[in-house]
Amino acid sequence: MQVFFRLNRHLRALLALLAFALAWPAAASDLVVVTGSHSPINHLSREQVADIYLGRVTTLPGGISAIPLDLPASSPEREAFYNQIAGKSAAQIKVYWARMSFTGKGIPPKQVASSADIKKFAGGKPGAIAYLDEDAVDGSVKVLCSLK
Amino acid sequence: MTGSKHWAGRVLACLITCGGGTCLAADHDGGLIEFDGSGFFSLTVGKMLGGTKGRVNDTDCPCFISDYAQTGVYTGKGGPQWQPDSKLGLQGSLSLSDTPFSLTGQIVARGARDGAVNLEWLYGNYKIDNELTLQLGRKRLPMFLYSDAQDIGFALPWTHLPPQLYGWEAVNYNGANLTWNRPLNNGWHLTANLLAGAETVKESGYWKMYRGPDNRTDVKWDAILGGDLNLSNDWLETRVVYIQSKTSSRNVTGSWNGTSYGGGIESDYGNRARQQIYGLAFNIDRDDWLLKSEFIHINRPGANFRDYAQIVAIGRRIGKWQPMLTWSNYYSKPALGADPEAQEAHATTAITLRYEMDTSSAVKLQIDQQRDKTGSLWTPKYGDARLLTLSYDRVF
Repeated sequence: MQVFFRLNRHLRALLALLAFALAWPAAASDLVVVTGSHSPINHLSREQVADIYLGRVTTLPGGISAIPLDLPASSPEREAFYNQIAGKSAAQIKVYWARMSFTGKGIPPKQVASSADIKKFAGGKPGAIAYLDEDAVDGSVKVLCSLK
Repeated sequence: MTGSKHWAGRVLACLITCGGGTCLAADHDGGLIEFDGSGFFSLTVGKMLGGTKGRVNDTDCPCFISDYAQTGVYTGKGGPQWQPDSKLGLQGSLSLSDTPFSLTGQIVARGARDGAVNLEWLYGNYKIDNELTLQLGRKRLPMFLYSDAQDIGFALPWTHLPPQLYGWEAVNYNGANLTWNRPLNNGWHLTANLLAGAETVKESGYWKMYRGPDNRTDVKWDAILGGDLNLSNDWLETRVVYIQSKTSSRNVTGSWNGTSYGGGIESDYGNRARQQIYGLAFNIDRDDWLLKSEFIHINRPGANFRDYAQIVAIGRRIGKWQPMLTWSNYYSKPALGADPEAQEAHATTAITLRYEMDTSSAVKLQIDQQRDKTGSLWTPKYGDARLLTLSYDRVF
């Protein structure tokens, strides 16, 4: 009987560990919002980032047209990003943009294929902003806001 | 002239090579012409489960009117029907990089119109500054919260909009609107919109619901003036709207009288009557709970009845699932000594289950139970109806 309880306890611990491990990738991705290293923009608040990505604001401080970039719908970074800035899933955001973009109220963020494409695009456009895993940041981009 | 040919050629090349998504082409000045193509469709199948049987207004009932403006009607004749709420829409936008101008068009083919393609939107967009935008052209008349998105099934929580509220003569207008967008403090956001224009509806779908499916009634709304004000944050959306216009109509073919058309033919548009539309919406989306509520009142001072309609809905997001319960109600209130027995009134209770298939598509199952509460003198009296609909909605 004692062995059963021990096993049971071990099983529960194992399940808890498994659940934690499954939840870990989303929770662990420390996202940052970046722009090209030559952009004149140096800082954005989390609220400014949300306003830009939800189409409420279309220019960056200083009057530069904002070009927000999105990773593909299946990317975990996109899911985590919208959860952190708007408290919504990527699917909810897609519904939001369907309502906005087909009714003349805004244009959704431009989608790029990968973090490498973000760096390439941001390098040539001073108004481009994007989210990246902190580990992917290098000299080609500068961090405007941390979403930790 | 050569320049414009060059520009048009680039656009054409862009459309041919791109087809959908975003594509870029350089114009003669080295600027970039950007074309964005996108679309949406809803494939909706419905079946009448029961209701009041009979032939009403040249239609086999039980029947359920899901879309007054587009003649979307599920009837008691035959099996499952896909026409009333199925539709396909395509949108294209052209913009010249680093300029505040863009041009957007949207066409929609509907099963309810036997697949006929209609131009729903075509407008030029001029961004005056970061907060002000001027649009000119053909747009949706923003009578209701979901007026703009009424064709985008993927963006709606229902298989069709609640017909007690979303069913009127005109849904579009030709004119201008000026929108002011302003972020406020603490996550609040304000949008104010002013509009002016006019609309002529040839062969109104709305009037077919009252005068027979083969009736032709033309409707004019002119001197449309109005505006709406939206205040929202991450979980709350509130909206007030006021629109006024002059309205007139002519019954070209005459109405169905039980055996044939022909009664009440009008050779010309009648008197231009004044109408005022007042609307209010209050929506919450918080902690996966959803509350939707909307109210509208239409006043035509010379008419015998005043129109009132409301919806209230409550739902919950549970992972990819979203059940929702919706109650919608319409009644006309007698005025100028009109007989209350000639009142039109009906209500629908709907249960909807939405399942998110991926970030671009959803499946919905909905049961509508409609109760006819019209007075004894009102015609056409469609009676009660129970409808089951299943939809697949996608954006691309």
